[in-house]
Amino acid sequence: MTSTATSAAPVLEVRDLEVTFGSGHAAAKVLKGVSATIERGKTLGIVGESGSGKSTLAKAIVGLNPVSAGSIWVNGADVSRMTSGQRRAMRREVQMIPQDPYSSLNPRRTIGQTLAEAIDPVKSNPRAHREKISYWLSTIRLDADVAERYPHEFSGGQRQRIAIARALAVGPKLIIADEITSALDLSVQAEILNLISRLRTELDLTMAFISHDLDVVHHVSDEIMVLFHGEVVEIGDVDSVYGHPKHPYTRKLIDSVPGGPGFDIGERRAAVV
Amino acid sequence: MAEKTRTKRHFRWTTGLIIGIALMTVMILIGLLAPLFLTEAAEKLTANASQGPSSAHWLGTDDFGRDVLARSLVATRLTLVMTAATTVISVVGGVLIGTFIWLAPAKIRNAVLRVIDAAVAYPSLIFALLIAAILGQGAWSAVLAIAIASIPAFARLTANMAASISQRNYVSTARLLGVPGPRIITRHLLPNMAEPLLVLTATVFATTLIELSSLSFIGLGVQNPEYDFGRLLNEALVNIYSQPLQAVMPSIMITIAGLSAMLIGDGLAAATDPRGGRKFGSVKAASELPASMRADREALVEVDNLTVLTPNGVPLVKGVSLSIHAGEVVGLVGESGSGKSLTAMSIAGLLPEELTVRAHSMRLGELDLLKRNDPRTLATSIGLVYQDPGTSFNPALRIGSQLTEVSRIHLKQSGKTAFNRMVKALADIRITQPELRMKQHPHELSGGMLQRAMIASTLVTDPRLIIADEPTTALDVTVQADVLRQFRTINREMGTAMLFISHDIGVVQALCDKVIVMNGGKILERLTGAQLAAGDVKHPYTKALLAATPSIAERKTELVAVRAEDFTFDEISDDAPGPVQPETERLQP
Repeated sequence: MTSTATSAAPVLEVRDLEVTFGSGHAAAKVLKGVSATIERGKTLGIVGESGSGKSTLAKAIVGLNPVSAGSIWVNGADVSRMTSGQRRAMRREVQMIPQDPYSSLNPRRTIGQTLAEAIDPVKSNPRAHREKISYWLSTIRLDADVAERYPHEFSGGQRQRIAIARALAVGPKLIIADEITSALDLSVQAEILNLISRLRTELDLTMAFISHDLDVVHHVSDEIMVLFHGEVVEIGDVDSVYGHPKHPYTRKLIDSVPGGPGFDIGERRAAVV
Repeated sequence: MAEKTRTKRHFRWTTGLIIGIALMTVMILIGLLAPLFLTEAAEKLTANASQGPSSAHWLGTDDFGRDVLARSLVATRLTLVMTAATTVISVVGGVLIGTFIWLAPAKIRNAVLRVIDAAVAYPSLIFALLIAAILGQGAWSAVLAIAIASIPAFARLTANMAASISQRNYVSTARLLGVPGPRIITRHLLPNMAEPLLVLTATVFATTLIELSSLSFIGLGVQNPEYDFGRLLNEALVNIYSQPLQAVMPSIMITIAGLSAMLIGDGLAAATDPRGGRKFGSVKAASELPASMRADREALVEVDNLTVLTPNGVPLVKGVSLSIHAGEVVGLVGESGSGKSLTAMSIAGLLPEELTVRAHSMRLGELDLLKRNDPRTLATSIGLVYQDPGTSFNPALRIGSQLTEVSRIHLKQSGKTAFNRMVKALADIRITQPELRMKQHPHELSGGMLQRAMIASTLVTDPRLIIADEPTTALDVTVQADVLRQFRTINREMGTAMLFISHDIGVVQALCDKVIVMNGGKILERLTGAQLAAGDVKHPYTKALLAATPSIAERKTELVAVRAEDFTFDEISDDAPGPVQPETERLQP
């Protein structure tokens, strides 16, 4: 990458990022100056409700959404100043795990072909990368022989694990997990969250974990960023944000979690006769 | 481990497809063999001009003494070759344009799409005539003309399919992985649209055949001495009164060739449609099943031994018994496939027709839910709130007319009365500017407001039971808290009984008086909301579910991964305790 890249620089730094959709009168500013950093080996949880801009932020970081102002720095290098070749290389350094495990795998390609494409996007020959494929499959606790199978033979949780393996197989510096458990059942969600926790320690992953579920974000994150209408309402250490929210919106959000300490929906009806 | 059940879709052979393939095989054989054996009869000029049918010439001869039948058969080869060539050119061209524009920048893509739209707007035959007139007469200029004229329609269809596939996550992921554009097309786009493309190709083959024959018929296509079906018709037209049989054979050949292509296309479409061959089920009272629990005559809703079966006899709900008392909120909690929604929808009488519902008894008050009830009685006795307010409203109609539908149609209220009552109901659940909301369209309201409006609409008919199927799952947490508050208020102030279905333990424990935990179509445990909130649960499955739930209240080091299929205990019943651990015994709340 560029010479300015140093090991001390944060893996991701977003400065005053703005994303606008449309132009003229119809222009809608979805992100209004978002700043955040993720240090190596840390997980930043990004929470917010629908329309808060959390998915827009994820797509802007991986380059799927155009940025209208501000800058994105990956490993100390400004993405907007990269040549197209550098940017192509950078794209592989930041991998996204999509939400829906059913549309994230091509139904006509075997698991081996899918993983081979992550390892070598041009040739994508599963036989040439057999060892790597079985290594990544073992990381997600699947047998090596599943490489011959097609996605429809797997459950939602298994597919999501395969999607995680595909992101890991690229060897990225940063992983962006966009609502990766929201399409899953509770028991499968636990399986994925456990896998993520294990990989965080084993592989020293750096991750941005996006979710609308405050319980889930609380479980996996070191730091939390709360987004509201495209602005960062609060950012900080996970325990301090959940324990002592400074912003009234954060307070409201935390008190809305059913089963949480601040949750109250009014008195129960007097006992049924 | 991957699941062992491989749901491999086997190919369905329909009669039409078999006939189509058989006819096409015959046509191809004729095309291959006829020119080898019949060319002389078909092309040699003889003195026997314009003869009628005879044993030597079954369909007679033409003006030059050539055998009409032989000419029709020999013409098959040229016709099929031309049609195939045209189809290949237009399909390849269309597919190339239709897929590659998805790699191009948005501006170029939109420009090309507009050009294609404009080209599609012209009838392709007229377009083909224009091109043929420019290229001049001849077989290959006709092929080229029709191929070019057919490209836009095919490109348009391909582009539409490619558009929907390129939205899928595996395509955007492939881009992020750095997969080159052409490989995205060959690996991800084309394989996933191969089936509809095949079907379309068969259709294009049939229409191309007609168009090529038309061009030859009007003299723009194949020229003497060559001949295809269209050219033969052209020659026959002159003698249509003296030698009508001359026109018959080419017409039959065109029909058969077109028909077989269409049958193959339809057959392929039917074979790839996974929804084929459904059977329909019924609702009946279970006959031999023993009464598994004492009839609870006090209860408002009583379901005794409910079983729901698929058309193949696979049980989805396996003998569920539950009762809901007046004023009670009962929660059904479980993961997908647990049968919670099926149980609730059987009570509402809203299961898909192909499922069979059996129960010892199922009633709401005096209403026997196993019988076919008057829709009016059902609609006013049970209020339903669905999961996604965004799709349960019709986007084209105003909110007001949708919310007052039950009042107007089933309660026979006048539009005005229904409107006023609805406005009051909306105001009751604190929706601002209720009159204005009634006149708005669904997209103008937020999801939370739509869901609250939906709840209000179930209340105006004063139902005895509200069934809410995951009513807050599609909502944001702050809105969810609002909607739950609404349910609580309604229950407290109006005493309406509710059956509340959710996968979210936190929601259920906060709202419900009683909670029923379901898994694999069976009830595993009955608790009170307070017991669940306190973690006072006995069944291992419920314990595991709680341990699998991350919580902001405490940070668990490791979540317990539950395997729902590991918990397959039989349903607990008073008559037959079965192989059940003591703690799974039914808990009378």
